[in-house]
Formats: sequence, C-alpha cells, structure tokens
Amino acid sequence: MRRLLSIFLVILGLSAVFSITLINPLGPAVIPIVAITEGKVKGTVHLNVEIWKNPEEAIAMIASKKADFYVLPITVGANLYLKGMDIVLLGVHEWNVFYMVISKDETFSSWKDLVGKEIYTAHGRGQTVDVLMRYLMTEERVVPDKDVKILYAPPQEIVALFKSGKIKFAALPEPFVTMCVLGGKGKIVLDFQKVWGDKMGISPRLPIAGLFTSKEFLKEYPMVVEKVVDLFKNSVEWMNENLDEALILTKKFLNIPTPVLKESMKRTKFYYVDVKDCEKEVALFLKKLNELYPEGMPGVPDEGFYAR
Amino acid sequence: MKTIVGLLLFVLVWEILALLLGSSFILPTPVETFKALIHELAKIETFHAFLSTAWKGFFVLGLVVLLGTLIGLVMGINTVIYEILRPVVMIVQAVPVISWLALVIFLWGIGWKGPVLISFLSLLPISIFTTAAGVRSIDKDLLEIVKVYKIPKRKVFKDIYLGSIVPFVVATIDISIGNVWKVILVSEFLCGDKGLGVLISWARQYVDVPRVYALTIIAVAFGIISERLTKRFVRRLTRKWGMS
Amino acid sequence: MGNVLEVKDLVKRYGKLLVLDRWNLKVSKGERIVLLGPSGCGKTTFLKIIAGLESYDEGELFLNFKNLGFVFQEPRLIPWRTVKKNLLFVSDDEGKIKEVLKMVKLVGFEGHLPSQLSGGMKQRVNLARALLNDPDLLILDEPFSSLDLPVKLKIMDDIVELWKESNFTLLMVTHDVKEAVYMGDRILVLSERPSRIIEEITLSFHGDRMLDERFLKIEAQIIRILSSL
Repeated sequence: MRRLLSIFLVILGLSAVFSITLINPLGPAVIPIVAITEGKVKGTVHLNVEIWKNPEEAIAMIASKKADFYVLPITVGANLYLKGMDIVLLGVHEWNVFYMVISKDETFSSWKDLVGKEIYTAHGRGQTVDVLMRYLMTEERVVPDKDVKILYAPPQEIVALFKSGKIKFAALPEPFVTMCVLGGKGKIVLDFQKVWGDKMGISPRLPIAGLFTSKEFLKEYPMVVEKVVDLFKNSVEWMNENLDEALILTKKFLNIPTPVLKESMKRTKFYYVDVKDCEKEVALFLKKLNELYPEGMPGVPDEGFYAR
Repeated sequence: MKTIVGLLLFVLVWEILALLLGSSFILPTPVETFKALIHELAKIETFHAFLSTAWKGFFVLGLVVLLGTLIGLVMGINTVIYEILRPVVMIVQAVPVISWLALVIFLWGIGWKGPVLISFLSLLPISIFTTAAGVRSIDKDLLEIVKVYKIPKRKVFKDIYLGSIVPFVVATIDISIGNVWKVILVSEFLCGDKGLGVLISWARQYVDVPRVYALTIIAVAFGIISERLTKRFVRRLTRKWGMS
Repeated sequence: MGNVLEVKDLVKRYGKLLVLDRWNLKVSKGERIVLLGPSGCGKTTFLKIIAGLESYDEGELFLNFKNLGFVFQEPRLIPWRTVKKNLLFVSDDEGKIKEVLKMVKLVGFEGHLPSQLSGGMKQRVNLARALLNDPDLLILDEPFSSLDLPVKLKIMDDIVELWKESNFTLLMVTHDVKEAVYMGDRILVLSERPSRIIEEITLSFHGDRMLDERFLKIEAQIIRILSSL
C-alpha cells in the first residue's frame, strides 16, 4: 500500500516537472489547438493548454513563468521583445484575417470613396489593420483623420452597429467580418493581405499570430521545444484536414455559431511556418509597422527575436 | 513637509513592490514610469487628450449639479414625487458602467456623447439624493415659523428652499468632483474617441505598461488639483452667502 | 369678553403617552401669564397648541385674538438672509420693520447676517419678528434660556416696557423661577409630566421687582412648591 502511494507520488511529481503549459488566445485561434486539448493528436510531451482572454492575462502568465509556450499576436510578441522580455518567435501560424466590409448600399473602388465618411476598426490606434489602412489611404493621398474619420471600438460593438445600419464601413478581423456580412447587410470589398502582398511584392499574407517561447527555455530544453513545435504543427494540420470536426470540438470554448465560424474559416488561413522560413517576411512586416507608426512599434526587433 | 514625506514613502513602497514583482510588465519601477511620464508630457497629443478629458469632466459636473439639485429640490419638497422617483433613481444608481456601455455605443457609436452620458448617469443619483435628503431635513424650526406666521408658499419656496440650495450644491460638487474623473476615464477607455482614457486604452494595446501608469499619473494629478481648486472656489462663493 | 383664551379640561397625548392632564385656564386681555414647570412637562406643547402647531385630544379651547407673535426658544432666523430680509419674510410693511427694529434697539443692523450677530441680538431679532404684526397675544417659549444674565435682564426689561406701551397679552413659558417672577403677574406652577396646573400665584406689585424683598419671598415660596413635587 505504501509502495503504491509512493510510486503514485513520484509519478505525480514527475508529471509536475514535465508538465508544460501553452497559453492560447480566446477566439478563432482556438480552432488550431483544439486537437491538442481534445487529444486528437498526441505527442511525447504532455501539453497543458490555458486560454487567455486579454493581453494582460497573457503577460502575467508569461512574466510569472506560469507559461512555457505562448501563442500571441506577432505585434504583441515583438513589442514585448523590444521592452526587454525574454521571448523568441518559433513560427507563425495565422496568416490571413483582415478584411474591409461595407454596407450593401455603398460602393468602394478606391480609398477616395471614403472621403467625408467614417470607418470603424477594432481596438485602437496602432493595431495592424489600423496602421495598414492609414498607409493605404496615404498612398492614395487621402488624409487619415482629416479626410476620413477613423473610429475605434470593440469588434463586437462594431458588428452590432454595422448590422443595425448605423455604420457603413469597417475594417475588421475574422470572424467579425463574416458576422457583418452574413444576412446580406454588407459585402467584403478589400483583402488587406492581398493589398499588402501587392505593395511589398510578396505573397498575399500577413504574419498575424505565432508560437513563442522564452530564450531560456529554448536553451535548456531544445528537445522539448522541438517536440512541442511538432505537436503544434500537427494540431494545425489536423484542423485543416478535419475542419468540421474541429469546429464541433471548439463549441465548448467559443460561443460563435458554427456556420458563422465555418464561413469565416474560408478567409482565415492557419498553417504553421517555421521561423527560419518566414523570418524575412516577419522582419519586413515589423519594419513597415515601425516606419508607419512608431508609437505602436517603437523599434524593429533584431535577430535575437527569431529562434535559431 | 509631511506631504513630501508621505509622497516619498509612497514612491519607496512602489519601488520595493516593483522589485519584488520583478517585471516591468506588471509593475514598472518609479524611474521607468517617470521617464514615460516625461515622454508623455512632451507630446502635443497628450495635451489635446487632456483638454478633451477636462472639458468633458467639467461639463458633466455642471450638468450633474444643475439637474441633480433641481430634481432633488422637487423631490425634497414634495413627498409624493419623492416616493415615485426614488426607485427610479436607485435603479439608475445601481446600474454598473459596463451596462450603460452597450446602450451608449448603440446610440452614438464612439465619440464624446457616450462618456458624457455614462458619467452623467453614474453621478446624478447621488446628487439627487444628497439634495433631496438635505431639503427634507430643512430645519423643522424654520418650517414652524412658516406655520405660525402663515407665510405664503411663494415666499417659502424663494426664501427657504431656494435659498437653502447652496449647501447642497456645495455638497454635490464636493462629492462629484472627486469621482467624475474616474468615471470619465473609464468611459473614455471603453467608448471614447478622444481623451486620456482613450490614450490609456491604446497604450494597453501596445503593451506599454509604463505609459499606462504615466497617463494614470497625469489623470490622478489633474484630478487632485482640480478637486482642490474647485473646492476652494466654491467655499469662497458660499461664504458670500453666509454659509459655512 | 375680555378673555384672550380659555381652555377647559384640555388633554394632549403623544400616542399612549399623556402629556397634558386636564388643564383649565382663562387668560384675560393684557395679562402676563407665566407657565413655570420642569423640562419635558409639556409646557411648550401647550404653547404650540395655542399657536395652531399642534392638535389636542380632549377638552375645549377658545381662542380670541387677532394676531399672534411667537418668540421661539432659539432665534430661528434664516441663516442666509439679512436681518431685514428675515423680517420681510414675515411682513411686507417696511415701515413696520423700521419700527420694530427701533423697539428692540437694533437700528443699523438691517444688513447684517445672523452669523454676524451675537446670541442676544439674534434673539432680539426673533422678538422683533414676533412684533411685526402688532400681536395682541405674544407667546414666548423659554426665550432667555440661551442668554447670559446681563443680556437676559436687558431683554426682559425691554419686553416689560413694550408691554406697558402696547398692552398685549403675554404668555410665557420657562423653567427659571426668577424669570417667572420677574415677567409674570400670574404664575402657574406645573407638575411633571403628565402635567397639571397645581398652583397659581398672583403678583400684585410692579416696579423694579429684582430689588424688592417681596420678589425673594415669592421666589422662595415657589421653590418650596417645586421641591415638594
């Protein structure tokens, strides 16, 4: 009896030592990791997944070392790195998500069509789509804030305002884009990823979110990191191959109706690209952000940001 | 002298806590925050945001004082109206800021009207109740004089009720000036287009924690200074009326 | 009829508590009546009944006066109004206001706020206010209790002088024996609550009562009565 107990305690202790925590944002980004939480893919490490709802929560978990791996927006990761946090990018897995929607009675052929009007975008000044939008406007000689009023609000509120006809133009991430247009009240007129690709002469995609860990962890447990990255990669692949099943499993995390989510997945692209294959692209992206709005990206992360 | 010692103590405790927590993402040190503060104060954007917050605050204060004392006066004089309106005012008082948010965003989207309305609704009930309670407690002694000498209602209203308004207005201002900035900032944070609260929400987006604290310090400093100045100004006014 | 007021078997209760226990009293015009009794016995309540501020439960009450002046225990002035405005509150007759201010010797203080006056002066404004409508019944409810002796003596003198001129009926309430003997020509001694009128003392001498031996004799008599309660 005592033997059994001590063996049990040892196993418990070991699993505590070898239990690794990955934190993931609440939202569509849950779909690519649902395979891990529901055991559809298995690896040789036990990964404990925690969901974070707002950036402060994530930062608290990272700073207090409760989390070993973190799924974060690339911009957030870069900002943390610039502010001295010990963080490295392992790979990017979310690539397409931002679109512009307009009310069905409006037309959009160029940014000049927005002169004298207002456009809503999510969260705040300096968000990726905000920066891009201002950049694109300026390129067409439309002055942001003066010619076009730009307003910031929580995305759910923007959807509500859009659907009730109170606002006519919005630049949003999925799944809010789909929520706006389902029901015929609006249409999608611009793919920010495509425009970005055209302007930069690269693939039509934006590095939105990715997998991070700390340099310290990477140095000490490179094997573990490899295993976790594999597991993560497999999970994303599983989602792409079994989307319907993945959506069903996601129901317990998100209360966005499945048809909406499914429709939004047509425009949201998740696939894992290792940092070594996209470092240049990410660097270009961050450099441009810093150029356009240094308040939001106070610098450009050096090579230390990218995992080797 | 004692104030300075108090402040220094505060900074010391802050420094210790920051070192203990060990991450400038959770609690930046006083030095980091001070640097961010200087950086913020140098920006014209900060000044504009400050003006935006300031005018909203004083505007709300004025509205609350005006409508609060008026409604409170009517409620204080007439018991029937008091009984009818009291539950309404209590409900308004109990509604949390967040709940007004959805309503307000739907009405006006993002802008100045939302924060003004939310702040107004948050502060109005206490102004009404303070005034009503005060009017109801008007020296029963004075009211007895009215009865004995059979003073006409018009005179009673003008000389006693209206005249007595002043301490309630003062009380309302005292209470409201302390709270108005907090509510304005929160509502700007949630649905404003300009103001210090909006800047704080952006700083949060960029994970610029020292900036959040720096902006908070600006807001707090302004709050304290405006509170003191307003109180002093109001006291001087009321002395002319023979109160306090 | 020369009676300003008459009460027959007057009873007053506050809920179950009996306060006035069958009072019988007749007051004729021009009399100076003082009700003397311990605190809480209900004498203020009686004044309020006469002034129409309180109701009574049993008995009969006849009132026969035109104008009433009520001098309260506290000055009860509107704090944010000047002396003049306080008087205007009760009467629009500016001429009369000047007159009463002269009577209470407060000419020149019209523009003062109550906070700028001493206790005695405030009480005199209280008195002036009571005189504004030429009262035929002047009621005083322990009007000197907050005043120092020298101030008190002066005001008591002034009131007696006014009475000599205008000949109003005076009805005063106090718990101070000296005040009672100085002001009243008929002193009604009251018991503790529930109060009854237990003794009636009539004074027939006037002049400077304070210095008169008979004053001290009457005082002693009353004190004896009070201590035997």
